[in-house]
Amino acid sequence: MLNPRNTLILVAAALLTACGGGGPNPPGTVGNNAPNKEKPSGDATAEQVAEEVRAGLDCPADIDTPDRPPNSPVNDVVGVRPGLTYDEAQNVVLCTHDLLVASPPSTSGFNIKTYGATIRQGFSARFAEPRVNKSSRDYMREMNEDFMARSGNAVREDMKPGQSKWYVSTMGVPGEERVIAVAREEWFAEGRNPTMQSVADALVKKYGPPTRRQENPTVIVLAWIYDPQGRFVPETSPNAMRCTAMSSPDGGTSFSPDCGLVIGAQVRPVQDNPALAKFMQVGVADQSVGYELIVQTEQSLESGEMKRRADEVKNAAQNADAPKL
Amino acid sequence: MRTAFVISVLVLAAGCGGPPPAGEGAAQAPSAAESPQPAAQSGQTTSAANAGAATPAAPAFRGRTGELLNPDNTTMVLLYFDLAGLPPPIDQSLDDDMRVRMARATDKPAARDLVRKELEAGLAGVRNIGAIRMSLAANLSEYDSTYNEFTVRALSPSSMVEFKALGQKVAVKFGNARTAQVWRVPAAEAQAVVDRVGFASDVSLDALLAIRDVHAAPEGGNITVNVIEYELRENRSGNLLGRVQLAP
Repeated sequence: MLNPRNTLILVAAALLTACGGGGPNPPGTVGNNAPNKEKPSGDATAEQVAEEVRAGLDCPADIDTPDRPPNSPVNDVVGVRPGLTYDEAQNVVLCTHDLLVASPPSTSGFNIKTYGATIRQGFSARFAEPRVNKSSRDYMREMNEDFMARSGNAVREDMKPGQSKWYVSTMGVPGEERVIAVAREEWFAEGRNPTMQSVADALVKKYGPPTRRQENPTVIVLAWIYDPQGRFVPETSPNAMRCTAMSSPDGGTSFSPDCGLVIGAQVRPVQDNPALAKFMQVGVADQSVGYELIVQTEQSLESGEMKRRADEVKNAAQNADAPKL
Repeated sequence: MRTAFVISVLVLAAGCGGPPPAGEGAAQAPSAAESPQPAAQSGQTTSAANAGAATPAAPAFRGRTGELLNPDNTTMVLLYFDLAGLPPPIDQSLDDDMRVRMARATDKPAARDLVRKELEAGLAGVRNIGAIRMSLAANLSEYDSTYNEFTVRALSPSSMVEFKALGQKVAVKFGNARTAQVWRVPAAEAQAVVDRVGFASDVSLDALLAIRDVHAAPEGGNITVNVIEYELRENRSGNLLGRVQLAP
């Protein structure tokens, strides 16, 4: 008797180095489709940097992708949802705040064979940072400060109150990439922090009663799970624990063909008052659709590669030089 | 979610343990004696397990009408090449066969010839194959009282059965897995099933699979099949638990 395994799960492993957002590459125009233009130089405020990068952006965003079917579960994060095209998603994200700028992913993306094709596998977006021209002495001082901070296990947050950041994951053959997952993190402005409970209530109001809800003094974690047929998976279902919900823009996600829409959320409190929310994260992934799109994309590129190889062999049979023996 | 994404296709070939000998675990019409109280259930077509329901006709893939019963690795790889219209790497594989490897130098040509003829005969044998009967560990879920169903995880969208031979890797995937994995059992009968099963690992299934598509890729590929029908059996007694028939 054969023993098949439930094996085809696309696991997304987060690289810790990808966390922290700021990284060595300052946010700028998404690189894969950005026109080549001269890089601005000179000191600039965050507003000026955002204005330079967002030149030509139209808000509100034009969305041609049809809305989700009626009676299907809510599947968006501030308007960004699985199924949108890469450009639509980027437009919606950037239109959510005047200071947001998009960047290409700093990691290598899905580990699929692309045979040389360039696939836009997603983008991140975060608040623009002021551009400051630094001397070598400034860099050395910063490196020293970073070293000292690491040595002392200092907590370095990459977000400030009032800011938000996104990661949108896309997949498809070049030019036809569509959103398969989206995650957003929002830090509440200082002095205007909502209560933990009110944030959780707002999430439940938008997405409905969750499949899982875990609360402790340091976090509220919520998850909404649907199966690939679009049916809600309640907490009592044997399948309730089979789907991984991710909410962090810096974290990983997984795409299982056994799971449908999966929504994850986390709310974390401010340090000196656990009743008030410091920030929240919300992530949405249409796992089975995303999985199919990843597989289809790889197979499509694979077919093209097989055809290329066959054509080359055919040509070689007609035109290639014979070896001298 | 800014990540390095890794596709891990963790195929545990060791778990497959190789297919059983022909005939073992093949789908059989249950007798009244071996199916004391099969759960009434429905897939896309409801049928009581002991009703002797006729097997639905599988739609022929490219007019293929032949059927394989628990094929071995080599047969499935040859079937893949035949379906994909690609020449199997017979010549390249001859020296990997243990009989050729272990043969004395003077006997190697004859051993190669023997293996080649076997593979060519195997290739000829799969020329008309359009359906496969396969016995699998069902990997049954707990009962879902919300939707009144079990999930047969062996047939889930993430499930696949892998075959390795001739330096190639061929995976069989289930095209209608979303519906095939659902075994609906009325709540009133579910407890009886649970009591009989004991452990989820104690359930096997005999499935009739219709070939629907083939995808060629370097060093192997995928065969997509549709589950036409399957029977679930409790392993210790061999008793029939239920039969699911799906729309062809």
